[in-house]
Amino acid sequence: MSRFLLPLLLFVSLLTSVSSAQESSRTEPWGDEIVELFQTLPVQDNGRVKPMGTLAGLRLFMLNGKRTLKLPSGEKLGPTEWALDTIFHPEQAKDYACIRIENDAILTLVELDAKRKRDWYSYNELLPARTKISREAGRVFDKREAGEELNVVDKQIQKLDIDLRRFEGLMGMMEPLRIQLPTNATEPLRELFGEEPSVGSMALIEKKAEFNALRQAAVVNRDETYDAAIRVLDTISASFAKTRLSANLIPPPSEEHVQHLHELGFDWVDGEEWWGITETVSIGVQGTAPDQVEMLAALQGMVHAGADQAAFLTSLRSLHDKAETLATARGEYKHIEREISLYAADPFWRALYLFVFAFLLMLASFLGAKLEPLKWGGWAFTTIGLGLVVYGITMRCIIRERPPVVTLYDTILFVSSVMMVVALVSEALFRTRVALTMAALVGVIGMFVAGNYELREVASAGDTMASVVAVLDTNYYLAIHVTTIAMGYAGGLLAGFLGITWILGQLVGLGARHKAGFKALTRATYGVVAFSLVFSIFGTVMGGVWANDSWGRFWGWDPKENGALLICLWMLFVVHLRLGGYIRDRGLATMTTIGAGWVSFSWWHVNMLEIGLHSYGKIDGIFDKLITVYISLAILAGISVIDHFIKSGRGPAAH
Amino acid sequence: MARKLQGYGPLGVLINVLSSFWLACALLACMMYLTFFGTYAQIDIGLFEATKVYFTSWFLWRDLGAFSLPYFPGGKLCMALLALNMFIGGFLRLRITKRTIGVVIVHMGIAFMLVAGLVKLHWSEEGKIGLMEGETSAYFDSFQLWEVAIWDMDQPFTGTELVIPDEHISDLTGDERRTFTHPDLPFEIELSGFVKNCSMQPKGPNWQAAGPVVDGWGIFELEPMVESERNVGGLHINVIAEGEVQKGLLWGRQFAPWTVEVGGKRWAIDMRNERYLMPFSIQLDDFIKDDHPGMSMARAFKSHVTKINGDGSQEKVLIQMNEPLREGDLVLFQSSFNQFNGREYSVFSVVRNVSDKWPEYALWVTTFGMLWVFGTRLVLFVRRQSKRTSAPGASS
Repeated sequence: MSRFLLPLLLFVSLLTSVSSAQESSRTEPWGDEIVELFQTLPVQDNGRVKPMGTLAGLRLFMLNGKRTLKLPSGEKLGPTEWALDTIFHPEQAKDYACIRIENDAILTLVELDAKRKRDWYSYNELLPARTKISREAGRVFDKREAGEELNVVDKQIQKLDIDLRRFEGLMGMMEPLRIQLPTNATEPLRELFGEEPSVGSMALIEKKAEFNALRQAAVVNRDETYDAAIRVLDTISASFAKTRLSANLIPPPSEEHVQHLHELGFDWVDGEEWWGITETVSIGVQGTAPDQVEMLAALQGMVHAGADQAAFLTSLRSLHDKAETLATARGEYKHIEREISLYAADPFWRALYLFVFAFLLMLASFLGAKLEPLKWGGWAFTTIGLGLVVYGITMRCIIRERPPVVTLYDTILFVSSVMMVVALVSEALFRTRVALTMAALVGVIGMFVAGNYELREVASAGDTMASVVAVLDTNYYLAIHVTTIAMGYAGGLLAGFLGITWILGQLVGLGARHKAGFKALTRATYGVVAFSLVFSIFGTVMGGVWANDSWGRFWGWDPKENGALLICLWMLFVVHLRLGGYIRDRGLATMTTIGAGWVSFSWWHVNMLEIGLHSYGKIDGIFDKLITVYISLAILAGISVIDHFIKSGRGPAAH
Repeated sequence: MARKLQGYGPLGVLINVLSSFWLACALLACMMYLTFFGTYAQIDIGLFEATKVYFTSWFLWRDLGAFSLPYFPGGKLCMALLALNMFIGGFLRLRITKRTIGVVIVHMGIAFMLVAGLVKLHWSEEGKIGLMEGETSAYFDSFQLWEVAIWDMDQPFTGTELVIPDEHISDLTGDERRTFTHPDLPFEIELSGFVKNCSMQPKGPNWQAAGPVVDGWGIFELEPMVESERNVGGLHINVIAEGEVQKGLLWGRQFAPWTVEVGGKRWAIDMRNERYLMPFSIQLDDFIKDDHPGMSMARAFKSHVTKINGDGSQEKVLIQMNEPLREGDLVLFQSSFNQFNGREYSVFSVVRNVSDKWPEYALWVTTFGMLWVFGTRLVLFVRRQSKRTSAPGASS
């Protein structure tokens, strides 16, 4: 607990002791050019350079559960506007109800009044309990360290603490440029800086030569100016505490200049890690970094502009030009505009609407022969929706410079799109309309699940395009193993969907009336099983080949490997049962229904067993859903078997 | 289609059974059972034990107190029968035509994969090397297996020692004991009371030592660890010379070997992880943990090493994740790292496996076969469909 108390006390003392200047409120909506320039500012966060717009979106999404925020005044803020307010008008942002509390039990825990079971709160509403929240988070940390299981409230209080720290990080990001410095404490200092206290660290950086000379002289003379100078430096240092968990938006200098900084004693500087305000101010005060200090000056101009958006824009332009020039020279600006376009297009969410519409059209098309032309609408909407999903996946690949599947979130998008492609191909071959309906349904489910899972991924990894661990740093195996195994999952799940449709169709009595249609559905299912088998076996064995190159063993019986093997074995089992004549149409449908359960087990469940090399720990909410899926599939398969016995005259109904 | 053998008597029946579809289905179902429960067993008994119980065993055994009974075929039996089933059913008895050639290729590919697994299981050596920067090693140590090494302490070390391997040690549980002699040894060694995981402690009143207490010290038996490589084995040893018995305890993490004096000469006896020599030495020059910018997450672990060959020649080599050092059937992988007193320490996994690349070759063969099988069927189907739709009166 003590490890939390110290920074906490420091934080609280800073809140009270460090006086800031230039606190102001925004009086009009942010101008378009300001938003445009600010969102395309490059920042380094979570190991990669991304647009400020993306960072703002991720932070707001983590806090708010949405990428937009509606104010009581009716003004709707996008992530960039919200970040502008939070960074440059923090006192105003403290009143925004942008912090989502999922469970009011955590408010009871920290002795705050809850509004509803789930609601949104402002920072100022939570501020009275800030210390308690940190203390509770410390308790949860200790509990985790002791190996104890965390309950829902534990996890949420910990998340709230992290969310608040991130929010504080953004609010305090410009603190060293906003801080009031005691530069008028002695006469020599007043002669240098003027009668009024200086505001922002740039005041010192601009006059650092004279200031250092004054300080040196004060050391020799041992007079009060020495202590006063130290107080100025201490004030700046104290302001650094608030910049933690902010963002690094200043590219480092060239390798030669980094060497020069090493000679000056800045050993921590490297040519890759971007600088935050803290690092830039430190080097600005004690070293040299002209480009970076120029950016700092622009930032200080933005801070001091207050509500004057024209002055703000002038400084922002200067900052953006410099940032773009430096980042471009480093080859790190090339995907900034693309990423902004991706988030602006919001392809997965838009595709969801199209899939819903396509699915409804397809359902309607089954109602009568006259409505059959509706299927062309279904084709059109599904295809356009799929196009949007493929666009989104492709853009993510280009931005990350990685194959399509790296994270669990990626697998949802990729598996859904492969399922849709296979379903559309099946529809083209077998023309059952069922496969087309399945394609639309898969789109709905896939995009919905992706949308829900995105928040978990952002909360845990900080990004949906997060950096990868060392063993995954190989595009060859990511492309050849991970994508093929995901295609195997897609085939297995789609076969399950088709099998379920077959069983349900039979249960409602459609089988006798549409024998040819059901025959075609069986052929489509078998084709999808074959597809899944090929990709599952290739992907699984290729995983072994990768493991052999990474760890020295082709097959280690790791849970993830075993999960993939289970799919292969199940598919082989089904194919051999079919080839051996042990199962026919109903058997295939029943077996593929169960197979969907195996796919779910391999795709999600084995990651939560907390053993092996692919363990991500138990993912709240998903475990329960998986159990529901298994039970539902097992019940459906059981009903199918009973239905078979009844219809074949061997069941109780036949008597 | 597989041809049924008729008129060959019991042999024919056996071949029919071994090549049947139902046997293939039954074995696949058994493999699923083993894979599923073998995965869950890892939570309680760890990967190493679960692999032994479920996947590399002939049978699963149920302990009934006085005796044990096999209650289910183990992974080794299932895979052996599956390979046989594929070989007989999918190759010997299949009529090879243009349509079935793909099936034959698939079965041969998978059978080859299983053979590769068998070769790896029985004829490979696995272990690790841990090196501080500047250190050199010409051998690697097993993760789980133990050995007892004996050498003459009064002779200059020639690199030759007598070794009792794990297979003669790890079964010496309970009252089992085994005596070892060698023409170069002036004494007999009797080993007994092997304990899989233990510590050595001064015998106190509150705990029961596993086996006899020696000089006030006993073997304190511990629960086996789920991560089996963390187990530290222990043994009782008797050195018998000219009717005199010297009793001792051996422990896998002892700092120095146990020494005995026989006939005026001093002998060292050490228990350690099984040790395998490499045809070259490895010196760790520099280890680098390369983090993503601004994060503590590593994007690369790199070991710059010098490979010192038998003839004294040297090569600079970089070993990193996904880029091991391969030399013949020996492969060194970047495994993990640590820091001690500011010095970096790199751990390499080492595997000597003649079938190293066989699974990859088998994969390409199998994939080719599967594409042949399903590709030709798809083409046939599409042709039939297009004929059907182009036929007069056909409609969608």
